[in-house]
Amino acid sequence: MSDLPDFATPIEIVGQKQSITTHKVALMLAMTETPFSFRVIDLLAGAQKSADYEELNPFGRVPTFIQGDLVLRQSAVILRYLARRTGQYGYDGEAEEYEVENWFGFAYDYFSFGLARVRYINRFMGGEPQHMKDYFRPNTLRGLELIERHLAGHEWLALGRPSLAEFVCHPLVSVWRDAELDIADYPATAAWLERFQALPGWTEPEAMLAGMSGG
Amino acid sequence: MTDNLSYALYGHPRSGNAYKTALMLSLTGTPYEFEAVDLMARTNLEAGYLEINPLGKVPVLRHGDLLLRQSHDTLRYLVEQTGKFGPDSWREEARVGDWIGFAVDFLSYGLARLRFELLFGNGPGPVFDYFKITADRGLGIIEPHLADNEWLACGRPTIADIAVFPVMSFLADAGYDVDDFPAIAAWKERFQALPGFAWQLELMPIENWPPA
Repeated sequence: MSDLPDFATPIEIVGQKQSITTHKVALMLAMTETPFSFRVIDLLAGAQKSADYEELNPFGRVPTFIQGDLVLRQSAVILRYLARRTGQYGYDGEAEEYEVENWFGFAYDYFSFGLARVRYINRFMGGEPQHMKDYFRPNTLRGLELIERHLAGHEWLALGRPSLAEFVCHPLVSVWRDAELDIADYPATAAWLERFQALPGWTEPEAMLAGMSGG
Repeated sequence: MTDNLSYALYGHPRSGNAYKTALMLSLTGTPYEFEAVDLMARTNLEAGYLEINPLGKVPVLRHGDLLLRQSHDTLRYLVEQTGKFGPDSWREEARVGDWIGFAVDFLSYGLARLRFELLFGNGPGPVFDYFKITADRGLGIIEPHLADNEWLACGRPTIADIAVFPVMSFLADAGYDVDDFPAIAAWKERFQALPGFAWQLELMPIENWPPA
């Protein structure tokens, strides 16, 4: 595909410092040493419904990735794009591609639709409604059981090296405290969290984004 | 190369995600064997199936020894294999990606949950109400988009339409009045007129379904 912008074109991320999907993209940029600027949209204040943002992202979601006239609105698409452009954390060939892609779906099914919902209710909705936290609890625990079992036998999720699978899952699992979990119950997962955090360029994403947006 | 190997689809007509893969196979004219996984009898949680998908979910698409376990991956894979219904550029991929994301954010985690609660869950109640907020927002995005666009992305049918159609075909089961969404209804008719279109029961026939 030949319509790619010059990768030296400045990259802007429009997002929210507390948003896990924004964290995924920000970490990929930081860990591939790709310069970018960060613009805050305050989702909680409803600013994403403003006319300007609606034009940029009709789905009212974050983050939005802008490089020249290329606008990407889904973290999975952004991560694939960055892997391709930087040559880092991607996959080589069909078999590797679908090993990695499996984890995108896993992250949606068990963590976006589980742990991340519980964390959102706790952090942004004052802990209520409790019945929805109860609703998401079994899926959260099942997701952690599955990833723990896998990581007990694997250093990294999809390949024998860190890949996009890590960028999709790590920012979700790393908010375990806000999801009423104790990571000590999942020792292989805890070790994997630390391995990822020891990679060059990793930094706590919420603090990084707060620093880039003046607090 | 995997070109001459046969395809097998593991699924159930209840599953909107399995229907996405079945539609893509049918619309691309790709022959496949259907392996029924009886979700109602919980066959998906038995050892034989867990070897195919440790998560116990449908669909799985088998091509040779490659197993694809996420419906949207099966769509992208079949684009690569058939050259049909895919994006032609990064700009197109970005717009197709918008609607694949929509299918996850607003449909799988919104509208599809409403149908599940009404047909297989607890019926109307607080869980239904929670997901209805997301489902309403999603319908508020797609209906005006389809009033202005014949297809979801790229000005032609793509895997974006295939990813969204199954849940839209369940609109009434999710408690909505289809007459309230004329642009969606017109798009569904266009989609149903595509060569190779078929309903889930034709693509994934299984005994005892639908329940009498």
